[in-house]
Amino acid sequence: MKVGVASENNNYDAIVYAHILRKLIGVPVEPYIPQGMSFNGCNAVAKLAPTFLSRCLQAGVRNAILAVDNDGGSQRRLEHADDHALPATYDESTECRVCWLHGSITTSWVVGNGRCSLVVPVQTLETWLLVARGQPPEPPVGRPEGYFGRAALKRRLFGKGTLPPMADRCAVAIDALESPYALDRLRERHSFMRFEAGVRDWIA
Amino acid sequence: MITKVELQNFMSFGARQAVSLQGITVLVGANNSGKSNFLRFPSFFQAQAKQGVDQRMGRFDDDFRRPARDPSEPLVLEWEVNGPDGLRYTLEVQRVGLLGGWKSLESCRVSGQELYRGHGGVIAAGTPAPGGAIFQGYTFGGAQWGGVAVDSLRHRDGANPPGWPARLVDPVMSARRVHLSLEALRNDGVPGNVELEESGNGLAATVATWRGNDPDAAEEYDRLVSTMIPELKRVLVTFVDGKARLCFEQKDGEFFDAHQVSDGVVTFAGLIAQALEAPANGLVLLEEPERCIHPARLEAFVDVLRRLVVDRKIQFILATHSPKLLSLFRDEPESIQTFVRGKNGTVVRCLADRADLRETLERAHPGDLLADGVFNSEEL
Repeated sequence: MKVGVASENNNYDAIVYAHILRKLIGVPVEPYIPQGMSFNGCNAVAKLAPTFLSRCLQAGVRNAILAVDNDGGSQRRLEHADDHALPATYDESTECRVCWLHGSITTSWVVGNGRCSLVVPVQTLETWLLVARGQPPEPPVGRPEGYFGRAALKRRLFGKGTLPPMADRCAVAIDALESPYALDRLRERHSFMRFEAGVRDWIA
Repeated sequence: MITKVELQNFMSFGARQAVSLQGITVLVGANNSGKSNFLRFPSFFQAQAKQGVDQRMGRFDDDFRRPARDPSEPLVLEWEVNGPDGLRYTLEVQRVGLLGGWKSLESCRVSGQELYRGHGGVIAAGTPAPGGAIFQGYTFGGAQWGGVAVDSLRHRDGANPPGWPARLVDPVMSARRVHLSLEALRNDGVPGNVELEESGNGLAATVATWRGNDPDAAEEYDRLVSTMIPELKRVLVTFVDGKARLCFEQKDGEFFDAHQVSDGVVTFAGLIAQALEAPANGLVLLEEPERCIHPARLEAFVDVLRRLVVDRKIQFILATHSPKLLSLFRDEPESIQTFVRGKNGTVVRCLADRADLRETLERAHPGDLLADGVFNSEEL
Protein backbone atom coordinates (compact mmCIF):
# COMPACT_ATOMS: atom_id res chain seq x y z
CA MET A 1 0.00 0.00 0.00
CA LYS A 2 1.35 3.39 -0.97
CA VAL A 3 0.73 6.24 1.44
CA GLY A 4 1.68 9.81 0.76
CA VAL A 5 3.66 11.23 3.65
CA ALA A 6 4.23 14.93 4.13
CA SER A 7 6.62 15.16 7.04
CA GLU A 8 9.63 17.11 8.07
CA ASN A 9 12.11 14.47 7.09
CA ASN A 10 11.63 12.15 4.15
CA ASN A 11 14.38 9.79 5.25
CA TYR A 12 13.30 9.40 8.84
CA ASP A 13 9.78 10.55 9.79
CA ALA A 14 8.26 9.16 6.60
CA ILE A 15 9.88 5.77 7.10
CA VAL A 16 8.85 5.61 10.74
CA TYR A 17 5.26 6.58 9.92
CA ALA A 18 5.17 3.90 7.25
CA HIS A 19 6.32 1.39 9.83
CA ILE A 20 3.65 2.48 12.29
CA LEU A 21 1.01 2.21 9.57
CA ARG A 22 2.20 -1.27 8.67
CA LYS A 23 1.77 -2.32 12.28
CA LEU A 24 -1.73 -0.90 12.40
CA ILE A 25 -2.98 -2.07 9.02
CA GLY A 26 -1.08 -5.32 8.81
CA VAL A 27 0.15 -4.86 5.24
CA PRO A 28 3.44 -3.43 4.00
CA VAL A 29 3.26 0.32 3.56
CA GLU A 30 5.48 2.21 1.15
CA PRO A 31 5.79 5.92 1.88
CA TYR A 32 5.19 8.02 -1.20
CA ILE A 33 6.88 11.40 -1.34
CA PRO A 34 6.39 13.34 -4.56
CA GLN A 35 9.77 13.82 -6.20
CA GLY A 36 11.57 16.95 -5.18
CA MET A 37 9.23 17.82 -2.32
CA SER A 38 10.55 18.36 1.16
CA PHE A 39 8.83 20.02 4.06
CA ASN A 40 10.81 22.26 6.33
CA GLY A 41 8.47 22.60 9.26
CA CYS A 42 4.78 23.11 9.81
CA ASN A 43 4.49 26.22 7.67
CA ALA A 44 5.90 24.34 4.69
CA VAL A 45 3.54 21.41 5.21
CA ALA A 46 0.55 23.74 5.41
CA LYS A 47 1.65 25.76 2.41
CA LEU A 48 2.47 22.76 0.25
CA ALA A 49 -0.41 20.51 1.33
CA PRO A 50 -2.62 21.19 -1.73
CA THR A 51 0.28 20.57 -4.13
CA PHE A 52 1.36 17.50 -2.20
CA LEU A 53 -2.12 15.98 -2.25
CA SER A 54 -2.57 16.81 -5.89
CA ARG A 55 0.66 15.03 -6.79
CA CYS A 56 -0.34 12.05 -4.68
CA LEU A 57 -3.51 11.78 -6.70
CA GLN A 58 -1.62 12.01 -9.98
CA ALA A 59 0.52 9.09 -8.81
CA GLY A 60 -2.56 7.05 -7.90
CA VAL A 61 -1.99 7.40 -4.19
CA ARG A 62 -5.26 7.78 -2.36
CA ASN A 63 -4.18 7.81 1.25
CA ALA A 64 -1.96 10.42 2.75
CA ILE A 65 -0.81 11.70 6.09
CA LEU A 66 0.34 15.16 7.03
CA ALA A 67 2.70 15.12 9.95
CA VAL A 68 4.21 17.99 11.87
CA ASP A 69 5.19 18.36 15.45
CA ASN A 70 2.23 19.90 17.16
CA ASP A 71 4.23 21.61 19.83
CA GLY A 72 7.39 22.61 17.97
CA GLY A 73 9.30 22.26 21.18
CA SER A 74 7.05 24.71 22.91
CA GLN A 75 5.61 24.27 26.35
CA ARG A 76 2.56 26.27 25.42
CA ARG A 77 0.65 24.42 22.78
CA LEU A 78 -2.19 22.15 23.73
CA GLU A 79 -2.54 18.57 22.69
CA HIS A 80 -5.08 18.17 19.94
CA ALA A 81 -8.60 17.28 21.03
CA ASP A 82 -11.58 16.28 18.92
CA ASP A 83 -13.65 19.22 20.08
CA HIS A 84 -11.15 21.83 18.86
CA ALA A 85 -12.56 24.26 16.38
CA LEU A 86 -11.00 24.18 12.92
CA PRO A 87 -9.48 27.59 12.25
CA ALA A 88 -9.29 28.88 8.71
CA THR A 89 -5.94 30.50 9.32
CA TYR A 90 -3.21 29.85 11.77
CA ASP A 91 -3.54 31.71 14.98
CA GLU A 92 -1.02 31.33 17.77
CA SER A 93 -3.85 31.59 20.27
CA THR A 94 -5.46 28.39 19.01
CA GLU A 95 -2.25 26.62 19.95
CA CYS A 96 -3.09 23.54 17.95
CA ARG A 97 -1.29 22.94 14.71
CA VAL A 98 -3.33 19.82 14.03
CA CYS A 99 -6.47 21.92 13.74
CA TRP A 100 -4.65 24.43 11.64
CA LEU A 101 -3.35 21.78 9.25
CA HIS A 102 -6.82 20.32 8.88
CA GLY A 103 -7.77 23.66 7.45
CA SER A 104 -5.13 23.37 4.74
CA ILE A 105 -6.37 20.06 3.35
CA THR A 106 -8.15 20.19 0.05
CA THR A 107 -11.85 19.53 0.62
CA SER A 108 -11.98 16.52 -1.66
CA TRP A 109 -9.37 14.81 0.49
CA VAL A 110 -11.34 15.31 3.64
CA VAL A 111 -14.75 14.05 2.71
CA GLY A 112 -14.10 11.06 0.53
CA ASN A 113 -14.11 10.33 -3.17
CA GLY A 114 -12.17 7.23 -2.28
CA ARG A 115 -9.34 9.20 -0.88
CA CYS A 116 -8.47 10.33 2.57
CA SER A 117 -5.81 12.34 4.29
CA LEU A 118 -5.04 12.39 7.95
CA VAL A 119 -3.23 14.88 10.11
CA VAL A 120 -1.05 13.15 12.67
CA PRO A 121 -1.99 14.45 16.10
CA VAL A 122 1.29 13.61 17.84
CA GLN A 123 3.11 16.27 19.80
CA THR A 124 6.45 15.00 18.52
CA LEU A 125 7.16 11.67 16.89
CA GLU A 126 9.80 10.90 19.50
CA THR A 127 7.10 11.01 22.15
CA TRP A 128 5.45 7.97 20.60
CA LEU A 129 8.75 6.19 20.12
CA LEU A 130 9.73 6.68 23.74
CA VAL A 131 6.33 5.46 24.81
CA ALA A 132 6.70 2.40 22.56
CA ARG A 133 10.05 1.69 24.14
CA GLY A 134 8.59 1.95 27.60
CA GLN A 135 10.27 5.22 28.44
CA PRO A 136 7.50 7.79 28.22
CA PRO A 137 8.37 11.35 29.12
CA GLU A 138 7.21 12.00 32.62
CA PRO A 139 3.82 13.68 32.39
CA PRO A 140 4.08 17.18 33.78
CA VAL A 141 1.09 18.30 35.74
CA GLY A 142 -1.43 20.05 33.57
CA ARG A 143 0.65 19.68 30.44
CA PRO A 144 0.25 17.52 27.37
CA GLU A 145 2.76 15.00 26.22
CA GLY A 146 5.65 16.54 24.40
CA TYR A 147 6.25 18.96 27.23
CA PHE A 148 9.99 18.53 27.03
CA GLY A 149 10.50 19.86 23.57
CA ARG A 150 12.08 18.36 20.47
CA ALA A 151 15.74 18.55 21.33
CA ALA A 152 15.35 16.94 24.74
CA LEU A 153 13.13 14.19 23.37
CA LYS A 154 15.59 13.38 20.61
CA ARG A 155 18.48 13.26 23.05
CA ARG A 156 16.50 10.91 25.24
CA LEU A 157 15.78 8.61 22.32
CA PHE A 158 19.08 8.77 20.43
CA GLY A 159 21.53 9.66 23.17
CA LYS A 160 23.65 12.71 23.78
CA GLY A 161 25.90 14.45 21.31
CA THR A 162 25.55 14.84 17.57
CA LEU A 163 22.45 13.15 16.22
CA PRO A 164 23.18 9.94 14.33
CA PRO A 165 22.55 9.63 10.58
CA MET A 166 19.02 8.99 9.40
CA ALA A 167 19.51 5.28 8.81
CA ASP A 168 20.65 4.81 12.39
CA ARG A 169 17.76 6.89 13.68
CA CYS A 170 15.32 4.76 11.69
CA ALA A 171 16.88 1.63 13.19
CA VAL A 172 16.42 2.99 16.71
CA ALA A 173 12.82 3.97 15.95
CA ILE A 174 11.90 0.66 14.37
CA ASP A 175 13.55 -1.19 17.23
CA ALA A 176 11.33 0.78 19.62
CA LEU A 177 8.22 0.00 17.58
CA GLU A 178 9.09 -3.68 17.49
CA SER A 179 9.38 -3.97 21.25
CA PRO A 180 6.88 -6.54 22.59
CA TYR A 181 4.31 -4.19 24.07
CA ALA A 182 4.80 -1.23 21.77
CA LEU A 183 1.24 -0.99 20.45
CA ASP A 184 -0.28 -1.64 23.86
CA ARG A 185 1.75 1.16 25.34
CA LEU A 186 0.95 3.51 22.47
CA ARG A 187 -2.76 2.84 22.77
CA GLU A 188 -2.67 4.38 26.20
CA ARG A 189 -2.00 7.75 24.56
CA HIS A 190 -4.91 9.82 23.34
CA SER A 191 -2.97 11.10 20.36
CA PHE A 192 -2.14 7.61 19.14
CA MET A 193 -5.70 6.43 19.61
CA ARG A 194 -6.92 9.33 17.48
CA PHE A 195 -4.38 8.44 14.82
CA GLU A 196 -5.35 4.78 14.86
CA ALA A 197 -9.03 5.66 14.61
CA GLY A 198 -8.26 7.73 11.53
CA VAL A 199 -6.33 4.89 9.95
CA ARG A 200 -9.18 2.47 10.69
CA ASP A 201 -11.43 4.81 8.74
CA TRP A 202 -9.17 4.29 5.74
CA ILE A 203 -9.67 0.58 5.86
CA ALA A 204 -13.40 0.88 6.41
CA MET B 1 37.38 14.83 19.94
CA ILE B 2 38.02 18.46 20.75
CA THR B 3 35.37 19.63 23.18
CA LYS B 4 36.35 23.24 23.61
CA VAL B 5 38.57 25.87 21.99
CA GLU B 6 39.49 29.15 23.62
CA LEU B 7 40.97 32.11 21.78
CA GLN B 8 42.19 35.48 22.90
CA ASN B 9 43.78 38.25 20.86
CA PHE B 10 43.85 35.95 17.86
CA MET B 11 42.99 37.69 14.60
CA SER B 12 39.49 39.15 15.15
CA PHE B 13 39.25 37.65 18.64
CA GLY B 14 40.01 40.05 21.46
CA ALA B 15 38.62 39.21 24.87
CA ARG B 16 38.91 35.51 25.56
CA GLN B 17 36.15 33.41 24.00
CA ALA B 18 35.34 29.78 24.69
CA VAL B 19 33.74 27.79 21.89
CA SER B 20 32.36 24.37 22.75
CA LEU B 21 32.46 21.82 19.97
CA GLN B 22 30.33 18.79 19.14
CA GLY B 23 30.71 16.04 16.55
CA ILE B 24 29.38 18.58 14.08
CA THR B 25 29.46 22.24 15.04
CA VAL B 26 27.89 24.97 12.93
CA LEU B 27 29.17 28.53 13.02
CA VAL B 28 26.83 31.32 11.98
CA GLY B 29 27.18 35.06 11.91
CA ALA B 30 27.40 38.00 9.57
CA ASN B 31 30.31 38.53 7.21
CA ASN B 32 33.42 39.63 9.11
CA SER B 33 32.14 38.29 12.41
CA GLY B 34 35.14 35.99 12.86
CA LYS B 35 33.94 32.56 11.71
CA SER B 36 36.75 32.09 9.21
CA ASN B 37 39.30 33.37 11.70
CA PHE B 38 38.14 30.73 14.12
CA LEU B 39 38.64 28.07 11.47
CA ARG B 40 42.28 29.14 11.22
CA PHE B 41 43.27 28.13 14.72
CA PRO B 42 44.55 24.71 13.61
CA SER B 43 46.67 26.16 10.81
CA PHE B 44 48.17 28.66 13.26
CA PHE B 45 49.12 25.83 15.59
CA GLN B 46 50.44 23.72 12.73
CA ALA B 47 52.61 26.58 11.45
CA GLN B 48 54.11 27.41 14.80
CA ALA B 49 54.68 23.72 15.54
CA LYS B 50 56.49 23.21 12.26
CA GLN B 51 58.42 26.46 12.14
CA GLY B 52 58.79 27.32 15.79
CA VAL B 53 56.86 30.19 17.21
CA ASP B 54 59.71 32.69 16.95
CA GLN B 55 60.11 32.15 13.25
CA ARG B 56 56.39 32.06 12.67
CA MET B 57 55.70 35.25 14.54
CA GLY B 58 58.98 36.96 13.75
CA ARG B 59 58.11 37.65 10.16
CA PHE B 60 54.65 38.96 10.66
CA ASP B 61 52.21 39.39 13.46
CA ASP B 62 49.03 39.08 11.44
CA ASP B 63 47.76 36.49 13.84
CA PHE B 64 47.66 39.01 16.64
CA ARG B 65 44.49 40.95 17.10
CA ARG B 66 44.84 44.37 15.58
CA PRO B 67 44.56 46.83 17.11
CA ALA B 68 45.71 45.12 20.29
CA ARG B 69 43.54 45.85 23.26
CA ASP B 70 46.58 45.82 25.48
CA PRO B 71 50.05 45.12 24.01
CA SER B 72 51.06 43.27 27.13
CA GLU B 73 48.28 40.77 26.75
CA PRO B 74 49.22 37.50 25.09
CA LEU B 75 47.65 35.74 22.18
CA VAL B 76 46.12 32.60 23.65
CA LEU B 77 45.12 29.40 21.93
CA GLU B 78 43.79 26.64 24.12
CA TRP B 79 41.84 23.51 23.51
CA GLU B 80 40.53 20.57 25.46
CA VAL B 81 39.77 17.06 24.31
CA ASN B 82 37.15 14.65 25.57
CA GLY B 83 37.93 12.08 28.18
CA PRO B 84 37.71 11.81 31.90
CA ASP B 85 41.00 13.60 32.46
CA GLY B 86 40.18 16.95 30.85
CA LEU B 87 43.38 16.93 28.79
CA ARG B 88 44.13 20.47 27.72
CA TYR B 89 46.79 22.27 25.67
CA THR B 90 47.55 25.97 25.97
CA LEU B 91 49.78 28.18 23.86
CA GLU B 92 50.47 31.76 24.85
CA VAL B 93 52.45 34.09 22.62
CA GLN B 94 53.54 37.48 23.86
CA ARG B 95 55.38 40.40 22.36
CA VAL B 96 58.77 41.14 23.89
CA GLY B 97 60.04 44.70 23.65
CA LEU B 98 59.13 47.41 21.21
CA LEU B 99 61.26 46.16 18.34
CA GLY B 100 59.52 42.85 18.00
CA GLY B 101 60.40 39.42 19.15
CA TRP B 102 58.18 36.88 20.72
CA LYS B 103 57.98 34.79 23.80
CA SER B 104 55.91 31.69 23.88
CA LEU B 105 54.65 29.58 26.69
CA GLU B 106 53.15 26.19 26.16
CA SER B 107 51.53 24.04 28.74
CA CYS B 108 49.58 20.87 28.99
CA ARG B 109 47.23 20.02 31.79
CA VAL B 110 45.49 16.87 32.84
CA SER B 111 42.66 16.95 35.34
CA GLY B 112 43.59 20.53 36.11
CA GLN B 113 47.16 19.59 37.03
CA GLU B 114 49.99 20.95 34.98
CA LEU B 115 51.67 18.16 33.11
CA TYR B 116 54.19 20.22 31.24
CA ARG B 117 55.24 23.81 30.82
CA GLY B 118 57.79 25.11 28.35
CA HIS B 119 59.14 28.59 27.84
CA GLY B 120 60.07 28.31 24.22
CA GLY B 121 63.41 26.84 25.08
CA VAL B 122 64.70 23.35 24.66
CA ILE B 123 63.33 21.12 27.35
CA ALA B 124 65.09 17.89 28.10
CA ALA B 125 63.21 14.74 27.28
CA GLY B 126 60.93 13.57 30.00
CA THR B 127 61.34 16.73 31.99
CA PRO B 128 58.36 17.17 34.23
CA ALA B 129 56.73 20.49 34.80
CA PRO B 130 58.46 22.57 37.43
CA GLY B 131 57.08 21.27 40.64
CA GLY B 132 54.97 18.80 38.73
CA ALA B 133 55.36 15.25 37.71
CA ILE B 134 54.96 12.96 34.80
CA PHE B 135 51.29 12.26 35.23
CA GLN B 136 49.09 9.23 34.76
CA GLY B 137 51.64 7.34 32.76
CA TYR B 138 52.19 9.99 30.13
CA THR B 139 55.82 10.54 29.34
CA PHE B 140 57.67 12.70 26.89
CA GLY B 141 60.49 10.24 26.46
CA GLY B 142 62.50 10.52 23.30
CA ALA B 143 61.27 13.93 22.36
CA GLN B 144 61.09 17.47 23.51
CA TRP B 145 58.21 19.79 23.77
CA GLY B 146 58.22 23.51 23.70
CA GLY B 147 59.77 26.11 21.43
CA VAL B 148 62.22 24.48 19.06
CA ALA B 149 61.34 21.09 20.39
CA VAL B 150 57.86 21.10 18.89
CA ASP B 151 59.46 20.31 15.55
CA SER B 152 59.36 16.75 16.70
CA LEU B 153 55.58 16.79 16.55
CA ARG B 154 55.54 16.84 12.80
CA HIS B 155 53.18 14.29 11.42
CA ARG B 156 54.70 13.69 8.05
CA ASP B 157 57.27 11.23 9.40
CA GLY B 158 55.10 9.93 12.18
CA ALA B 159 57.41 11.49 14.71
CA ASN B 160 54.98 11.75 17.53
CA PRO B 161 56.86 11.38 20.78
CA PRO B 162 56.30 7.91 22.19
CA GLY B 163 53.74 8.03 24.90
CA TRP B 164 52.59 11.47 23.92
CA PRO B 165 48.86 11.69 24.35
CA ALA B 166 48.16 11.79 20.65
CA ARG B 167 44.50 12.47 21.20
CA LEU B 168 45.44 15.95 22.36
CA VAL B 169 47.62 17.03 19.47
CA ASP B 170 46.65 14.84 16.53
CA PRO B 171 43.21 16.30 15.79
CA VAL B 172 44.59 19.81 15.50
CA MET B 173 47.88 18.86 13.88
CA SER B 174 46.10 16.90 11.16
CA ALA B 175 43.10 19.21 10.82
CA ARG B 176 41.96 19.97 7.29
CA ARG B 177 40.54 23.37 6.47
CA VAL B 178 38.41 23.21 3.35
CA HIS B 179 37.61 26.23 1.24
CA LEU B 180 36.83 24.85 -2.18
CA SER B 181 37.44 26.59 -5.47
CA LEU B 182 35.59 25.33 -8.53
CA GLU B 183 38.57 26.01 -10.75
CA ALA B 184 40.90 24.07 -8.46
CA LEU B 185 38.45 21.18 -8.17
CA ARG B 186 38.44 20.79 -11.95
CA ASN B 187 42.21 20.86 -12.31
CA ASP B 188 43.84 17.88 -13.94
CA GLY B 189 46.56 16.24 -11.88
CA VAL B 190 49.31 13.67 -11.84
CA PRO B 191 48.63 10.69 -9.60
CA GLY B 192 51.21 9.79 -7.03
CA ASN B 193 52.40 11.54 -3.97
CA VAL B 194 49.81 14.27 -4.20
CA GLU B 195 48.17 16.30 -1.51
CA LEU B 196 44.52 17.29 -1.69
CA GLU B 197 44.68 21.00 -0.98
CA GLU B 198 42.08 23.04 0.88
CA SER B 199 40.92 24.53 -2.44
CA GLY B 200 40.30 21.06 -3.85
CA ASN B 201 43.36 21.20 -6.08
CA GLY B 202 44.64 17.65 -6.43
CA LEU B 203 41.19 16.04 -6.44
CA ALA B 204 41.62 14.29 -9.78
CA ALA B 205 45.03 12.98 -8.77
CA THR B 206 43.67 11.82 -5.41
CA VAL B 207 40.81 9.93 -7.06
CA ALA B 208 43.24 8.39 -9.54
CA THR B 209 45.44 7.26 -6.66
CA TRP B 210 42.46 5.68 -4.88
CA ARG B 211 41.40 3.96 -8.08
CA GLY B 212 44.89 2.58 -8.57
CA ASN B 213 46.03 1.77 -5.08
CA ASP B 214 43.15 1.84 -2.66
CA PRO B 215 39.99 0.19 -3.99
CA ASP B 216 38.33 0.32 -0.57
CA ALA B 217 38.68 4.10 -0.49
CA ALA B 218 37.40 4.33 -4.06
CA GLU B 219 34.39 2.20 -3.21
CA GLU B 220 33.61 4.23 -0.10
CA TYR B 221 33.97 7.43 -2.12
CA ASP B 222 31.53 6.20 -4.77
CA ARG B 223 29.07 5.11 -2.13
CA LEU B 224 29.06 8.46 -0.34
CA VAL B 225 28.95 10.56 -3.50
CA SER B 226 26.05 8.54 -4.89
CA THR B 227 24.26 8.87 -1.54
CA MET B 228 24.18 12.60 -2.12
CA ILE B 229 23.71 12.48 -5.88
CA PRO B 230 21.59 9.40 -6.55
CA GLU B 231 21.95 9.60 -10.32
CA LEU B 232 25.71 9.10 -10.06
CA LYS B 233 27.29 5.67 -10.02
CA ARG B 234 31.03 6.25 -9.81
CA VAL B 235 33.71 8.91 -9.87
CA LEU B 236 36.49 7.90 -12.23
CA VAL B 237 39.39 9.55 -14.01
CA THR B 238 40.34 9.76 -17.65
CA PHE B 239 43.79 10.72 -18.81
CA VAL B 240 44.32 13.79 -20.95
CA ASP B 241 47.89 14.60 -22.01
CA GLY B 242 49.18 12.32 -19.27
CA LYS B 243 47.17 13.96 -16.54
CA ALA B 244 44.19 12.61 -14.66
CA ARG B 245 40.86 14.35 -15.18
CA LEU B 246 37.77 13.68 -13.10
CA CYS B 247 35.06 11.74 -14.87
CA PHE B 248 31.59 10.99 -13.55
CA GLU B 249 29.68 7.87 -14.54
CA GLN B 250 25.92 8.13 -14.21
CA LYS B 251 23.65 5.22 -13.47
CA ASP B 252 22.17 5.57 -16.95
CA GLY B 253 25.60 4.77 -18.39
CA GLU B 254 26.51 8.26 -19.52
CA PHE B 255 29.89 9.81 -18.69
CA PHE B 256 30.74 13.44 -18.09
CA ASP B 257 34.10 14.92 -17.29
CA ALA B 258 34.88 17.58 -14.71
CA HIS B 259 34.26 20.39 -17.17
CA GLN B 260 30.89 19.04 -18.25
CA VAL B 261 29.19 18.32 -14.94
CA SER B 262 27.55 20.93 -12.78
CA ASP B 263 29.34 22.96 -10.15
CA GLY B 264 27.29 21.19 -7.52
CA VAL B 265 28.48 17.74 -8.55
CA VAL B 266 32.11 18.83 -8.50
CA THR B 267 31.57 20.48 -5.12
CA PHE B 268 30.04 17.32 -3.65
CA ALA B 269 32.92 15.30 -5.02
CA GLY B 270 35.39 17.70 -3.43
CA LEU B 271 33.68 17.81 -0.06
CA ILE B 272 33.48 14.05 0.28
CA ALA B 273 37.08 13.57 -0.83
CA GLN B 274 38.20 16.06 1.80
CA ALA B 275 36.29 14.21 4.49
CA LEU B 276 37.70 10.86 3.42
CA GLU B 277 41.24 12.21 3.42
CA ALA B 278 40.87 13.13 7.08
CA PRO B 279 42.25 10.51 9.44
CA ALA B 280 39.99 8.77 11.92
CA ASN B 281 39.43 11.08 14.90
CA GLY B 282 40.48 13.96 12.66
CA LEU B 283 39.06 17.45 12.41
CA VAL B 284 37.64 18.92 9.20
CA LEU B 285 36.76 22.59 8.94
CA LEU B 286 34.40 23.48 6.11
CA GLU B 287 33.92 27.02 4.83
CA GLU B 288 30.44 27.53 3.41
CA PRO B 289 29.94 23.96 2.19
CA GLU B 290 26.51 24.94 0.87
CA ARG B 291 27.96 26.79 -2.09
CA CYS B 292 26.65 25.39 -5.38
CA ILE B 293 24.55 22.77 -3.59
CA HIS B 294 20.80 22.63 -4.08
CA PRO B 295 19.12 23.30 -0.71
CA ALA B 296 17.16 20.06 -0.86
CA ARG B 297 20.40 18.10 -1.09
CA LEU B 298 21.99 19.68 1.95
CA GLU B 299 20.18 17.18 4.12
CA ALA B 300 21.87 14.29 2.37
CA PHE B 301 25.19 16.06 2.71
CA VAL B 302 24.74 16.56 6.46
CA ASP B 303 23.67 12.94 6.77
CA VAL B 304 26.95 11.86 5.20
CA LEU B 305 28.80 13.98 7.75
CA ARG B 306 26.80 12.36 10.56
CA ARG B 307 27.74 8.95 9.19
CA LEU B 308 31.44 9.89 9.23
CA VAL B 309 31.11 11.15 12.81
CA VAL B 310 29.68 7.80 13.88
CA ASP B 311 31.84 5.47 11.81
CA ARG B 312 35.20 7.26 11.73
CA LYS B 313 34.92 9.65 14.65
CA ILE B 314 35.70 12.56 12.37
CA GLN B 315 34.76 15.93 13.81
CA PHE B 316 33.40 18.70 11.60
CA ILE B 317 33.14 22.45 12.02
CA LEU B 318 31.00 24.19 9.40
CA ALA B 319 30.86 27.93 8.81
CA THR B 320 27.68 28.70 6.94
CA HIS B 321 25.32 31.37 5.68
CA SER B 322 22.67 28.84 4.70
CA PRO B 323 19.36 28.96 6.58
CA LYS B 324 18.49 25.54 5.23
CA LEU B 325 21.70 23.97 6.44
CA LEU B 326 21.38 25.62 9.82
CA SER B 327 17.84 24.40 10.29
CA LEU B 328 19.04 20.83 9.89
CA PHE B 329 20.52 21.34 13.35
CA ARG B 330 17.40 22.75 14.95
CA ASP B 331 17.29 19.89 17.43
CA GLU B 332 20.93 20.38 18.40
CA PRO B 333 21.15 23.97 19.65
CA GLU B 334 24.31 23.01 21.53
CA SER B 335 25.90 22.46 18.10
CA ILE B 336 25.23 26.00 16.86
CA GLN B 337 27.64 28.80 17.71
CA THR B 338 26.65 32.37 16.92
CA PHE B 339 29.41 34.83 16.02
CA VAL B 340 29.17 38.61 16.38
CA ARG B 341 31.86 41.24 15.91
CA GLY B 342 31.70 43.32 19.10
CA LYS B 343 33.73 46.27 20.30
CA ASN B 344 36.35 43.99 21.84
CA GLY B 345 36.47 41.58 18.97
CA THR B 346 34.55 38.48 18.07
CA VAL B 347 31.98 37.33 20.59
CA VAL B 348 30.79 33.73 20.43
CA ARG B 349 27.71 32.32 22.11
CA CYS B 350 26.22 28.88 21.91
CA LEU B 351 22.63 28.95 20.70
CA ALA B 352 21.67 26.62 23.55
CA ASP B 353 22.77 29.37 25.95
CA ARG B 354 20.90 32.19 24.20
CA ALA B 355 18.09 32.70 26.69
CA ASP B 356 17.10 35.80 24.71
CA LEU B 357 16.15 33.59 21.76
CA ARG B 358 14.53 30.66 23.56
CA GLU B 359 10.99 31.86 23.06
CA THR B 360 11.63 32.81 19.45
CA LEU B 361 13.12 29.42 18.69
CA GLU B 362 9.90 27.77 19.80
CA ARG B 363 8.17 29.49 16.91
CA ALA B 364 10.85 29.57 14.26
CA HIS B 365 13.73 27.49 12.99
CA PRO B 366 17.29 28.71 13.55
CA GLY B 367 17.51 29.10 9.79
CA ASP B 368 14.61 31.57 9.85
CA LEU B 369 16.46 33.59 12.46
CA LEU B 370 19.62 33.53 10.38
CA ALA B 371 17.75 34.72 7.31
CA ASP B 372 16.17 37.52 9.31
CA GLY B 373 19.51 38.70 10.68
CA VAL B 374 18.65 37.92 14.28
CA PHE B 375 22.11 36.49 14.93
CA ASN B 376 23.82 39.69 13.78
CA SER B 377 22.90 41.57 16.92
CA GLU B 378 25.71 42.80 19.13
CA GLU B 379 23.43 42.67 22.12
CA LEU B 380 24.46 39.30 23.41
